[in-house]
Amino acid sequence: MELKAEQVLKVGEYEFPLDRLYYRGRNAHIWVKREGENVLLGIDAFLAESAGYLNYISVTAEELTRGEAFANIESAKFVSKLYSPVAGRVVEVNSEVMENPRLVNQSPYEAWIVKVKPSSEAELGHEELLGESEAIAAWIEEEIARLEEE
Amino acid sequence: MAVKLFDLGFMSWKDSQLVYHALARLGIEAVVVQRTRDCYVSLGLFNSPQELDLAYLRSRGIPYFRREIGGGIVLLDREQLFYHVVVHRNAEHTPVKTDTFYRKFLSPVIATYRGLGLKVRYRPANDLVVDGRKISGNGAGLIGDCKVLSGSILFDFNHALMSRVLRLPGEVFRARAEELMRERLTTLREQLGEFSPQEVKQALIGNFEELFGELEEASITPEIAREMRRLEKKYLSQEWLNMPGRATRELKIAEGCYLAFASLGEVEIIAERSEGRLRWVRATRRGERMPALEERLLGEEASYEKILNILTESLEYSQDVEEAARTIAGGN
Repeated sequence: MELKAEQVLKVGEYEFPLDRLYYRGRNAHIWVKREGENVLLGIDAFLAESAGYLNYISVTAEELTRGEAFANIESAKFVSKLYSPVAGRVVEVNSEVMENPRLVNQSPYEAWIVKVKPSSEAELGHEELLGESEAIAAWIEEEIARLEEE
Repeated sequence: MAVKLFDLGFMSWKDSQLVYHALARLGIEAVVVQRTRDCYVSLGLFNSPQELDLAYLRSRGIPYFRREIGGGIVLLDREQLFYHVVVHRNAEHTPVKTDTFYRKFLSPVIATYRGLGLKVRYRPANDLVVDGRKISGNGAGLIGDCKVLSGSILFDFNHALMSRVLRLPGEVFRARAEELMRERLTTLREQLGEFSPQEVKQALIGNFEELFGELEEASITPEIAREMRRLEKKYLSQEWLNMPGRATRELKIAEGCYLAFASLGEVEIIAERSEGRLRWVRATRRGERMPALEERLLGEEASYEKILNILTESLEYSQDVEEAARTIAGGN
């Protein structure tokens, strides 16, 4: 379903649909979107752009711990990690994205990586998960400032 | 706090890899320069040992290591000067963008080559090239909370051994791979003839100090040594070494240059794809050359549709033909 313009936050050149939460812990840049009793996890537009084209994704954990790595990604011969915003169990890996990781760069908010059953409702209510426009904008503006200093 | 300098001389093959993994795990920001006294193969995190001729490696006593960072398979020996940069991922001097990270931390390496009179430049993603030929390969990644760049200045390189340690589909492919490596990879020895490895190392350290300010000389402490031994158990375990990697259908020689192999039963095709075109082709049926097919493919744009069209017109259509076209065209 396409979101209306007012449901998408724009910070600099990056867009953040407001139908989901954003994990700022460990500067992870992982989005979390509810889907029934599960959540989908993916990469936000800021990380998708700053990492460059992804060549490979490998999901490394089935049981997720909040703040710990759950996947490795490679772009431009740089291997990085994706950190989980929630504790829980992986119930599905997006095979389409595993086959073609560049989908993440092309459509970061469509190309979810894993579907997770959170261990409790509290996993979606901690302070490092941002849902309010002001909080997301303040964080991303800090991140953009870092980029500009480079 | 100043970035530390570990000028470690010659190390064993294991320690030459373990040291920068340990520094990163311990969060010690550092520039490491070292050489290895041994010859060994290093795999990127996502390579598979299936890409290696393991029987040959065993017969020659050549070990292999899987590093926790990116890049491809490399042959390492005493004729290379290794450099590793270890920086906290959130430190002010650490770029967020991968491309900026490479450009920044490879600038001292480029300055070192230029100081030797070579017009080396950066070619994305992370090659350093002179006259279009790669002279330094690099890989990078996140280990613990540190970003790590790892690369080497090639004093000399054993192209024949590099092509030998890989598991390749036949000797024609291997011979072409070696030729391409000689064509695409150069070394200080080839470029300069004589040079002083010691002076190259000192220049490199000086150029890193231009970037970071004065580096604090350091040596391997008992804490670092303990971490290296702890990591050794993980990195040399069969589970880690034999972890499956990504499936590859082609051999990457350098950025933009690939050698691919496609088999369609009796027909086999080896194709070199350089800068988006097929620059060299060998097609055989039951071992006999197929000059008409070779001629049609040679020089062709490496696009799936165009190659599929040629193969379909020259061979009977099958799913194998589609797969072969995909393999030859690669990512284009």
